[in-house]
Amino acid sequence: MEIVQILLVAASGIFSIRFLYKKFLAPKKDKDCGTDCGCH
Amino acid sequence: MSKTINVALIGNPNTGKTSVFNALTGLNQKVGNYPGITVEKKQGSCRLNQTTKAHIIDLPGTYSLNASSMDESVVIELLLNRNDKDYPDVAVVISDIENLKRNLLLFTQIKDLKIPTLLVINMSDRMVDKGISLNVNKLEQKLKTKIALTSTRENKGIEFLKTCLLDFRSLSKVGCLDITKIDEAYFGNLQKVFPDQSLYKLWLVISQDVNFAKIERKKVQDATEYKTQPISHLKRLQQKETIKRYQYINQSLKETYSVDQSKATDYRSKLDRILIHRLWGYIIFFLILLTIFQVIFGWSSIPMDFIDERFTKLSEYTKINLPPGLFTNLLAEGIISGLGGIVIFIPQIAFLFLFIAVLEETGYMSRVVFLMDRGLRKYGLSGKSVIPLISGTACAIPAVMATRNIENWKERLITILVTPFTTCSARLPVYLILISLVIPEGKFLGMGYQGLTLMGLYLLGFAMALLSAGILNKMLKIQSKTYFVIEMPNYKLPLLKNILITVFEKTKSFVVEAGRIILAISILLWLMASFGPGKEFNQAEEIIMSRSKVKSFTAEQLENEIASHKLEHSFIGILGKTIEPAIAPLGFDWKIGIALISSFAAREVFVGTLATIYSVGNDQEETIKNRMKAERKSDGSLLFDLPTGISLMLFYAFALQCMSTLAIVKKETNGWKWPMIQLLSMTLIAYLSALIVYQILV
Repeated sequence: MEIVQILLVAASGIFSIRFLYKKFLAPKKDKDCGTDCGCH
Repeated sequence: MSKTINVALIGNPNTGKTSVFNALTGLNQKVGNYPGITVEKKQGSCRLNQTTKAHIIDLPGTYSLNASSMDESVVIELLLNRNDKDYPDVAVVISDIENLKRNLLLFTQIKDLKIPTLLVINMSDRMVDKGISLNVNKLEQKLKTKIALTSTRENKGIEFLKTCLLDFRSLSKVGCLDITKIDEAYFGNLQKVFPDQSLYKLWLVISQDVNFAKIERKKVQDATEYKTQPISHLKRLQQKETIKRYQYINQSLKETYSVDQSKATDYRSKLDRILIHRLWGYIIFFLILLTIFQVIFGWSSIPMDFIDERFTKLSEYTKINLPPGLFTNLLAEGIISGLGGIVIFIPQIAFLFLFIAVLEETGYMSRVVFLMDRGLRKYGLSGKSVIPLISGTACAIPAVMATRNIENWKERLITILVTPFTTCSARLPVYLILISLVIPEGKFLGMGYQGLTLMGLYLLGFAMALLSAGILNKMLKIQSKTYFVIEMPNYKLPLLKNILITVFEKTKSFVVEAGRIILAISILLWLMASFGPGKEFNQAEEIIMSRSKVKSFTAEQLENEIASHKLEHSFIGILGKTIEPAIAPLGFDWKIGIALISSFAAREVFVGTLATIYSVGNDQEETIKNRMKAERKSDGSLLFDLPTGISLMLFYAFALQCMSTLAIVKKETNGWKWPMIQLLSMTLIAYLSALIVYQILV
C-alpha cells in the first residue's frame, strides 16, 4: 500500500512539472488556428 | 448527409450582435483566441434544418473596415482571406434600428467584398418608443439584400433569420459602390495591374495601417507597374469613399426610414444629463462603486466561508478515511487545499463579473468610460482602464482579462502592467495580520490607526498604479492611434441570459486557466515542503526527542516541534535559508523567506505558510498572531516589530506575488516578455521600498 501511495505522489509531481512545462515553456501549436498562422 | 455553412456575425459595437449570437447558438458555443493575438474568438453552432448546420463566428465589433484596433483587424483579415477555414459563406451584418445610418457604412463595405451579405436590423422592439417607421421591402430593394427584422429581447425574428441563412445562395452579390468612381485614373491603373483581383479587396489591402499576416499586401505594395501614392493621398481617397458611401446610404434611407420625434418617449437624454454631469456623474459613480464593493464582499463572504469550511472538512475526512500514507497527505494538504484555493475565488469573480455585465448591459459603463477618460489620459491610460483598475481590488486576474475592450494597444498594455498594483483581496489577509501585529490600536480624529493604515495601503496601490502608468507612458515607444471613440448606447434593461452566459464564461475561464496552474504549483510546493535532504530532515524525530527541553512538551507541542524542524530542513526550508542573506536587510528571516517563496504562487498562501512554520493550525488566527508576536530574531529582539511589519506590508503592496497573474498576463500579451518585465520591475520596486523604509525605521 505504501508503494502505491509513493507511486501516486511521484506521478502527481511528474504530471505537475509536465503540465507547467507544457503550459509555459514548450513551444506550442495553436489547434484552433486557420491556414494563415504559419504553424501548419 | 448534413452540411455546414460558415456564418460570420459582423456589426458595430452595441448593436446586440452578441445577443443575436446567443439567440442562434444557445450554449453551443466556445470561446478561444485568434492565433497570434489575444482578441477573443467566439464561435458556435446552430441547426438550420434537418440537413444544414451553421457554424457561426461572432466577430469583434467594428465600425468600419478601416481598422484602428486589433479587434477590427481580425474582421478584415477573415473577410479578405478565402483560404481561412472560417471564411464565411454568408456575412450577417447586425445593425441597430436607432443607428441604422451609421451601421450601414459597414454593411456597404462588406457587400462590396462580394460576399453574400444579409442585413439584420435588431432592437426592433424600440421602434414604437422611438417613433421609428421602416419600409423593409423597399429597403431590401435599395440595398440589394434580404433584411431580417429582429428583437432579441422579445425573441422575435430569429427563426426568420435562420430561414434567410438557409437561403443564402439567393442573396445578390452585387456591390453598393462602384469604387472606380472615387478616382477613376488610380483605380483604373490598379485594375490593369491586377486584372483578376477584386478591386475593393485590393483597395482595402493597400489602405490599411495594420499588417495583414500573409495576405498579399507586400505583393501589392511591391508591384512597380502601378503608380503608388503617398499615404496622405490614400487617406483622402478613404475620406472620399466614406462620403460616397454615406451618399448611397442617405439615398437608400430617404424613402424607407423615418423618425417622428414627437412620438418618441425618450428617457436617455434626461438620464445622460445627470450621469455624465461633471460633478454629479462622479458622485453617482463613486456611490455605485461603494455599493458594488460592499455587496461583493458581503455576498461573497457567505459562499466563500462555506467553500472554505467544506474543503477543510473534505481534507479532514480524507485524512481520516483513506489509508495513512504519503499520497493521502498530498491529497489532504496539497491537492484539496490547492483546489480549495481556486474554488474559493469563484464567488468573488462571479459577483464581480455579474455587476460589470449588468453595468455594461444597461449602457451605464459607456458613460463611466466617457467620464473617466479625461483624467486618466495624462497617465497614458484610457477611460476604459477604469474597469480593470477597479476590478483589480477584488482580483487582478479578471481585471487583466477586462482590459480586452481597450482598443489602443499601448493603453491596454500599460493597464495590464499597472493593474496588479491595486490592492487585491488576496493581499487582505496578509495586511490584516501584519497590521494587527505592528500597528497600535490608538485613534486619530476618531479613526483607528489600524483602519487608517489599511486605507492607506489601498490608496498606495492606486497611487503606484497611476505613477507607474505615467512612467510607462513616457518610456514605451509603441506607435498606436490615440483617438477615443465611444458608443453611447441606449439605456436598457439587462437581458438575464446574456448576463448569465458572460458570468459563466468568465468564471469558467478563471477556474480552468488559472486553476490548473495553481493546482500544479500547490502540488510542487507541498512536495518541496514534505521532502528534504540529509539527516536533519530524515531523522527529525530522533533529533528533537534527544533535546532535553522536549520532556515537558505535550504530544501536540512535540508534533509541532518536529514538523517545524522538518520544514526548516526541507527543500523549501533550504531555499528560505539560501535567500535569507538577500532579505535580511529588509528585516526578514528565513521563515519569512519561505513564506515569500511559497506565496509566490498566491499571496494568501503567506498566512498559511507562516502558520505551518510557527507550528500552529492555520485557522486559529489569534494563535498565529501570538506566536508571530513572540517570535524573536537571533539578537533576542522581536521579529515582527514596526520596521519589519511596515517593510513586509510594503513588499506585499508592490511585489507581483501571484503566479496566476503572471500566467494571465502571459496569455493576454502573448509571450513571456511583458510578464517578466512586470515581475522583475515590481519585485525591484517592492524590494527597494521595503529596504529603504526598514533601514530608515530601524
